[in-house]
Amino acid sequence: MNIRLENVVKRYGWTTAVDHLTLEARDGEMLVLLGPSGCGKSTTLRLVAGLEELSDGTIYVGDAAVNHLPPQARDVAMVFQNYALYPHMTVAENIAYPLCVRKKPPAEIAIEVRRVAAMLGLEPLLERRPRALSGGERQRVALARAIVRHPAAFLMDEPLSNLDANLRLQMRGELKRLQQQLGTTTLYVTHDHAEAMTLGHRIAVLRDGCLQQLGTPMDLYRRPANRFVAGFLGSPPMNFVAGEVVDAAFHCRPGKLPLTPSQREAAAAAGAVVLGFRPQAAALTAPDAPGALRAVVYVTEEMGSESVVVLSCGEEKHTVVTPPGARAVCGEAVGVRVAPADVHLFDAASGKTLISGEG
Amino acid sequence: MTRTRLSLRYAALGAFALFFLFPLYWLGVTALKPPAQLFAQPPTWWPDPPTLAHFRDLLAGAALGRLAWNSAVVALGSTLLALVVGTLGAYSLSRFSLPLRLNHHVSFWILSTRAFPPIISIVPLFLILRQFGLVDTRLGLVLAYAAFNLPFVVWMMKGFFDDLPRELEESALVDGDTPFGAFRRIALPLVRPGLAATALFCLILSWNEFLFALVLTQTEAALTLPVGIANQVTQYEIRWGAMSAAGVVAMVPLFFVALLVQRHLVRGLTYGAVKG
Repeated sequence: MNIRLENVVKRYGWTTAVDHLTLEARDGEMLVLLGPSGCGKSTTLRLVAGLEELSDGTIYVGDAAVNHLPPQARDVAMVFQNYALYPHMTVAENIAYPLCVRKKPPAEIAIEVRRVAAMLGLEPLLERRPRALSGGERQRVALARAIVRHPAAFLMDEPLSNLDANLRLQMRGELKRLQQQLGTTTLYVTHDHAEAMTLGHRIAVLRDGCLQQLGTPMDLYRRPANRFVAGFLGSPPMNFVAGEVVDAAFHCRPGKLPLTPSQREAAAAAGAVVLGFRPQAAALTAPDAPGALRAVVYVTEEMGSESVVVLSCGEEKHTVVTPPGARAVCGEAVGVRVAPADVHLFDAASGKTLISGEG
Repeated sequence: MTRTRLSLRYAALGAFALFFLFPLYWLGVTALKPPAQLFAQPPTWWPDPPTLAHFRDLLAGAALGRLAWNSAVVALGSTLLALVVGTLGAYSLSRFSLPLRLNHHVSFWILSTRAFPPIISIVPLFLILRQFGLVDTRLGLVLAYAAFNLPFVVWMMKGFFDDLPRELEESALVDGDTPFGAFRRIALPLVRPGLAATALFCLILSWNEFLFALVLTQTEAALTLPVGIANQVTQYEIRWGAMSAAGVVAMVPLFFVALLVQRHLVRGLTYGAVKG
């Protein structure tokens, strides 16, 4: 079933946690709410679950407005960041809990618990208590408890953030497969852009309770609506240089970069602009090469499959990803060359995208 | 650790144990001493021969059984009442936020009722109970003790509920349970150690309480053991032997209750520290 938010507002006293948020998770879709901590993404999820009361607006599950329904009547299942497993119950009892409170016959409950346990590989653990489980196992029990009653939607609040790095990657894959297999609409909250990119059919980027952009991962990556979205997606993050457009070129303190005609046109109306380029779209050249920015190597990080070179340009730091074995020496002067077509331009005042590049 | 330090440590522990156990020992042997040895100089350390005469007197004379029964009913009744009311109140204070920092103010107001000496409330309490015809009844004492224990229960249980992650009950709600179901099936079972510890403290306080019982009871209809013991101080004599025997009788049940819930008690007191 689809979940629709219309002009949803949540205020705590004088602060607005969610500010006129309108978005829809389509039936069967995994919609990721992405943003830094305090952006209102968890609050949004709790509003949908019914754990917080709306200040204004409407939330629909399917066609029904659920604003005034208590959590237990909303038919959504939630996976909490700390899993919220019931410590005094066994794994089997934890999974059975949503069915027990609905007074399903015990025989049916037993079958359902076994089915879900099998799906998630929990059969050998059914008689254990949560305390005796590893982080990954607890995570799977929490998922099983959400799945067992066939809810209209899953709400997941940073479900992977308590796992160590390897397990997180593994569970990320499992989550994606599971969601595809079940086809259940899912709202997924995270601050991790990699999780958002890999898991989401679409991503909604939030900042200070306001929706910044809603679209597919590639949409957001290729054509970010503003500087905030551009800086949030991609790793390492996009580099930004402040400057202005004069005579067909972008002028800034470290040098000047040529622009394409369409970029010049887009930037014509704006005064001060910010130029953005992704670390993968830049290359190192000789310091005095024409059309390159001057910089000094700050540090080089060898990743094996690539090298990440951090440069300092005056006050600012920029990152360039090069093929492995970059021979950049700390303190050495270099040039940074970016193909004009790969450059993004943003309005310096509003942060809005003037024109997106290809890289 | 060297031998000397170890023996010093045991000597210190021994001294403490002696200090706390000697009154119990003296109570026990006094209850068993023949009357002639009660005030013997030098004191007799062990009754010779031990006698059960004081216990027999107690059973024959004052209605010891009746008093013990009164004590048990009042202690259990007031503990139960205070636990039910106090736990619900504590849960509300812990989980539901009131405007204007009322949670804080209400909690503090509840605690403040324990700040004044209980004797201040005894006259008004007597008048109120008389109004309802509850003076010299066990129900009157149950209500008085429950009221007296309530702040303690609220504060203890609020601490235990505060330690419980809120997400557990939120998860229960989203899983389809009602708010009361989440309280009964999730929160309550998880604070059981705290409940046991709190119950034991209430039981001890009610069982041993003297002042209220002295003022609010007059006859065997509601007289409790501590008052019964004090009544051994009569106009003509102080019946030390009978007093000691009654003291032993009063001590034994609580001793076994404490033994029973000891495991819970220790877990209850260190609950926040070992929560995993």
